[in-house]
Amino acid sequence: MFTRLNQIGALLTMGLQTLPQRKSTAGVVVIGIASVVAVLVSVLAIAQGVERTLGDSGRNDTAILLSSGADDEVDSLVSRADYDAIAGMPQVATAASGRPLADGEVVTAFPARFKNSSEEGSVTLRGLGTYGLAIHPSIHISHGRTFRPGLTELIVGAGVARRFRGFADGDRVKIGNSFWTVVGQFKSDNVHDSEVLADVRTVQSVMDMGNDYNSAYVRLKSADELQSLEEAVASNPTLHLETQSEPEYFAAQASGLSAALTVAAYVMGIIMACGAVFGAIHSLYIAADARRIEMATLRAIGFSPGSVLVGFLIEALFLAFAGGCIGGVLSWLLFNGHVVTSMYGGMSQVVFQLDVTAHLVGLGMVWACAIGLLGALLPALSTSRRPVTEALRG
Amino acid sequence: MSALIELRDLSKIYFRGRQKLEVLHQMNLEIEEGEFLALMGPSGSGKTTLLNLIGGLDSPSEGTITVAGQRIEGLGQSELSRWRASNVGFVFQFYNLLPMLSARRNVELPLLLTRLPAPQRRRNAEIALQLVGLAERAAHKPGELSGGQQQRVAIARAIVSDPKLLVCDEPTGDLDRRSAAEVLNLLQNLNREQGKTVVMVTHDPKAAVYATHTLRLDKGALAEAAEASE
Ligand SMILES: Nc1ncnc2c1ncn2[C@@H]1O[C@H](COP(=O)(O)OP(=O)(O)OP(=O)(O)O)[C@@H](O)[C@H]1O
Ligand SMILES: [Mg+2]
Repeated sequence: MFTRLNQIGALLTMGLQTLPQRKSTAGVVVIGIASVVAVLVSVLAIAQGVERTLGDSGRNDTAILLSSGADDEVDSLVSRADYDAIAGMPQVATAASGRPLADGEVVTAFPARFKNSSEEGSVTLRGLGTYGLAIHPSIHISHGRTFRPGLTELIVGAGVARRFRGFADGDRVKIGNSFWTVVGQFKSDNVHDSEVLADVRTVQSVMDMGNDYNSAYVRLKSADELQSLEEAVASNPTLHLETQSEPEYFAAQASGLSAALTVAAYVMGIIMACGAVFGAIHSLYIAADARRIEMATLRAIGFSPGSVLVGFLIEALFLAFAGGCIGGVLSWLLFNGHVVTSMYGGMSQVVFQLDVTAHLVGLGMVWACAIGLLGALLPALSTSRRPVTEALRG
Repeated sequence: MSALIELRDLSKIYFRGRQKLEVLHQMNLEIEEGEFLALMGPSGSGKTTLLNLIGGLDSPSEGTITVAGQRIEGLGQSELSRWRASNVGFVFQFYNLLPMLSARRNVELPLLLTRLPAPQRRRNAEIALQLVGLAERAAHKPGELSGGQQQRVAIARAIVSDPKLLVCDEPTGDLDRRSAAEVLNLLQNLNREQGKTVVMVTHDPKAAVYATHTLRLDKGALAEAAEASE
């Protein structure tokens, strides 16, 4: 006699061959599952983009010092005296000139107009010191030149130039009551890409900020010196500062945001998935119900209940798989390589690059198959559990 | 002729919650090989129940069922499935064809349970369709066939794997006179020329005329019917 496997194969072939004739029922299942996967994959891609931009950058041998309790640079204050004390510490590397490789920096935000809408967003202006570009080696001038100390000149991150109006070379940018000339553009693989940079002294004086900084950046003699610097700062009673490595700081900035987005992705994904699971269960139930007599007839003819059940489940899995593929492709088409902006530090927009990775699509497929199985299992089980005589009565 | 089917002290009890319903009570019956038996009786008398037991779709509460020398009352689900596949052909009141499949592929279904290669399956299905006079309708879907034609496709499906026994539950119950006569003639031919043993449930005394033998089922027991009148 014939094996189970052959029976399942025969039923499955039959099921798949007749699929075109069941376009509408099958279509409802496929589209439902495709939309869940599209939403889930897209939102997760956003979360991942955020994490990569904020979380995976910075140098281990660069320390950032903020006032105790400040979560980010905007909330922090580092006085001139604090800065001098830090710069004099032995853990700090020295520049070719013999002076310590350390800088005080200021950050402030100003409104700017988006390119593709009439809405206003917010851009961060960072004041860099003498060693700014040495301390932030991720920053590469892509065209034009860098700003000159003492002049109201600035350079623009690629992310800002892409998103906002009025940041082309030679443009004059109004910040507060002052006007700044764009003299160049730069690229950076971290948050600086969404900033504009100028000379710290000029920013302090033009913006009436006094002599204080928001943060101090120092290049360490080596990454191993971080702990010793941390201890030196902590043991100095006049300093109320916290020391972090640059990656630690970026990661801390990212975690709130990307965790929130990841949670949002899952909450949205799960809500959509619930809807789609019930939709899929419903449509599969109707499909199974319409074929109850068919299944009973097959069993009467001599097909085993198990193979009728498994054949039906594999057919549902096939539909789910198709839905998952469509959903994955859809989110890839819609989002891959695209950028979104998001608030950063409560003040400025940061631009994120989205990658719809194979890993994310794979995750979506797992979800799709789980939904398909769950949706098909209930009606198929209830049908195959009934005695064939009862099932035949309809 | 020897008895193809032998029922001994057969009882079937259904439970509805606490309620016990004894549909068949200690029934004894022998059906000879080559017989065409018509089963009649009022609605709810247990005709379908009896037919399902003979066809191995259901198991009795008590008693034994022997078909072609094999006891089937104790077989499990999957053993019964296998037994049905090679020993019984079923014909239902509402044809029970798969609507997505062509007539030929419907007829081919039972052969999917055999090791026959695809071309051989196809040929056997076509021969069976020829036997019921529907060779030219092989490519049609059930929806494109009349009720009588659909029932003849169902009969082709029932005989394609060449079982000795055909079990038919009101095969003409949904058909007009002319189609019913065609189906009954077909069953009679299969009985006379192919030697199929046919057990048929019917409400129609005119249908019973085609049978070689008619029994009445009432209150869980069988009785000989008065000759073709009711
Ligand atoms: N699975 C079941 N559970 C409980 N009771 C059942 C079940 N199947 C049948 N019955 C009952 O058993 C009795 C006999 O049913 P059966 O279908 O065998 O009658 P029948 O003679 O075929 O009737 P009809 O001529 O209407 O088809 C009926 O009272 C029916 O309600
Ligand atoms: Mg009945």
